[in-house]
Amino acid sequence: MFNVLLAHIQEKVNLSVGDVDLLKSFFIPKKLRKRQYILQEGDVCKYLMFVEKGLLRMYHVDDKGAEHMIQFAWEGWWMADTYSFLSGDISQYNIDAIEDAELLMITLPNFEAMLLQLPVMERYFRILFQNNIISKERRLINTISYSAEEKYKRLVATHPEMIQRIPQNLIASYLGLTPETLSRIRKKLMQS
Amino acid sequence: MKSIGYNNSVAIIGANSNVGAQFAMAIAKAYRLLLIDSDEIQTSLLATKIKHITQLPSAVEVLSCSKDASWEADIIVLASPTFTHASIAKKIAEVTTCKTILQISNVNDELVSLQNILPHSHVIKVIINHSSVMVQGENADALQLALQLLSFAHWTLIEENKLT
Repeated sequence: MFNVLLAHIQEKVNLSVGDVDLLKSFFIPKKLRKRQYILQEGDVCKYLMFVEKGLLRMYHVDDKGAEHMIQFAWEGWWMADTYSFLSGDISQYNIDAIEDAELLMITLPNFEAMLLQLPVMERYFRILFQNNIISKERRLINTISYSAEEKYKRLVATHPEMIQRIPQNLIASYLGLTPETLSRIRKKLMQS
Repeated sequence: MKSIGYNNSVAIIGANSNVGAQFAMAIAKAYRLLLIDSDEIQTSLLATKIKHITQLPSAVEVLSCSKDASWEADIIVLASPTFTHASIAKKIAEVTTCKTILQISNVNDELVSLQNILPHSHVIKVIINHSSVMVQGENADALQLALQLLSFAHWTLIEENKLT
């Protein structure tokens, strides 16, 4: 149940056997069915979630009812509306499962207690947040600087598993393209 | 893609017992239910009855494994005979960390404490005496959650006790 999380942490920091036992006591194990919400717009994001198995998406619904994909998370990824989670303010996002999922969830009080009692996790999350900032900067540059075709090519290069697992219309939304545009790009790339 | 609305899911283990069925009927409109009992035919009948009452076809499901149900649920209600509680607790311990567990018993039943078996769960004892109920537990948030659930069941709270 904790295999993926422990492997992910131990890639970055060392945990003792005692640390592992203590770490497990902070997390809520949760199974989520395909298409089941874990966060809905207007609610507070109460959990920081780690995906042990399955696939989640976070998205925003605009005034016209169109969904805009913000993030996907599969095995080994963390997911939350960080602002809502840390501030306690309501979220403007939805998070649901694209595939049946097994999550490990932690509340803010438990998150803070864990960082106090396991200082090694401070280092782990510092590394994660650094990586997250870099990744957000890259996504911003992709959005404002590249053509539709280039955006797709870069996504294929950096996250090939996304192309395999995630429906094409959701990938189009993630890239800020229409499904028709993405379809044309894919066709063109296959022909070339 | 149409999604299922998020609601707290409650697993009721021992759903066919008098108290389990009563509790399930009482909270069904507010929570998504996962019903578990050894007689699955009887449990399915209960689920059908609840779906008819609530008019929410997706809000109740019958599962066969208490561990899977507890893994999926946010709150677990033990409504089976009290002599089964310890063995169920051992089975579900791994998937109930930080979750609230309501251990329901009648006033005359011998009640074993599950907190030692479930050290990282928030166990709340709910002791029923006719239509009155006593609630005991260590975690304030879990106690609050238990009272919220019990408020649907028309039992009169005669004692709320935060064990220290």
